[in-house]
Amino acid sequence: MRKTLAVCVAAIGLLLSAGSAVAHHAFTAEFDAAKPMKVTGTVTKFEWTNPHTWFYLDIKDDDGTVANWGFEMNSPNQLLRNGWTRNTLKVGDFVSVEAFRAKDGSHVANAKVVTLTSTGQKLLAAPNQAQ
Amino acid sequence: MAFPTGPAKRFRMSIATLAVLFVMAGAARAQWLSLPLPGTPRTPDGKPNLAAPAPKTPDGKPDLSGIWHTEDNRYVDNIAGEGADVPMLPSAAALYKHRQETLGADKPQLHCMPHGVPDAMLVSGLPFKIVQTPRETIVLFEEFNQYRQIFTDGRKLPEDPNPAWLGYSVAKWKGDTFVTEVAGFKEGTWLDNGGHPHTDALHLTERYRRPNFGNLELEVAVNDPGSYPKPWKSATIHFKLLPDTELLEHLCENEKDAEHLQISSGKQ
Repeated sequence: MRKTLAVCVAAIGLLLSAGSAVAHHAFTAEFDAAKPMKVTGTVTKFEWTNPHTWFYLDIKDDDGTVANWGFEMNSPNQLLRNGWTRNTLKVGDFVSVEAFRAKDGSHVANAKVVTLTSTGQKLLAAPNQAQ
Repeated sequence: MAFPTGPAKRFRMSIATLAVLFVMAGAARAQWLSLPLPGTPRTPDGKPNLAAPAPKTPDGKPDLSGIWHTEDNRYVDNIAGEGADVPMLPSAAALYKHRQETLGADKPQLHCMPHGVPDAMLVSGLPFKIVQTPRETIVLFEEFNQYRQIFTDGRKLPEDPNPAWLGYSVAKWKGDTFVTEVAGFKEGTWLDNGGHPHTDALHLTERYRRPNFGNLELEVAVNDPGSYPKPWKSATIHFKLLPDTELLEHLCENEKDAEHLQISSGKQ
């Protein structure tokens, strides 16, 4: 039963995340599809808010310095339909993220996929694809 | 479609009922994101039958009720159709050009203000719900938790109303087509994600059809002598039903995006 539900939710999630247009603002106005990043870090904050959910990671640089990055995701509404809940991330969780960097050079990116290290669960962040 | 009768029908129905009960037993633990809705036609395995005939109201009209979304983003940016060029008056053309060039940096939704009509139905990932009653059809938009009332009680459009983001709507049935007249718009909404503009002279005529349980079609006729030299029509916009689910609340709590936007005319 849970499997059927999971398939339903995943199917709806794939349908919804396949859309390229954005309710809110153009992906390309803020983020750079040519600047992908794949990082691992520790969750310092998880803001389950509308119209964009945010989480923040402490990420260690190659030279050992730690920088805090903000990752923008879609509305909780879209995330709920992609298997997320408000409890999915906890401060201290170790996650890896595939994201696209902000154009303004700040430590901000638009998350595409988040993988929870502890469980291996891979979640779509209902990405805003490049327009 | 041949309907089984007698014992065969009862057997078929009880299998479907069992299937629904089975689904419900699991769904009871879950959110309303996935729950069986009464009145949903089902295939023998209990899944919603999207190809079933469109439901009808007691007075024999098609019932447009349901949760809908567009899977196809072709119309989202341009309701006239991908790549279609709508002739505009100079002021409208200049405004449209600005909106395109700045990648929608002035879009009202960035500040959590409403979409226009029909743009509010074209929000990727955030569906809308139609609730059809005898005297009015209510459209609930998930994004920003907004609603629109389309009155079918015979009233006429108001004279010189206070301008509204979603206008004022009345409708009647013409055969199986739900035809709305919408006017009284506040200037400044966007007709689509690309930013087709309008003035407060805008008058829309929408034509809705529900060819079967899982599909809804819409054509919008746009008449605005303040923006367009002649009336024009949208492409046929297709919506798909999202069965066995519910809307979620959506209210703005932060507006962090604006500070990061890179717009060609310079940051604010």
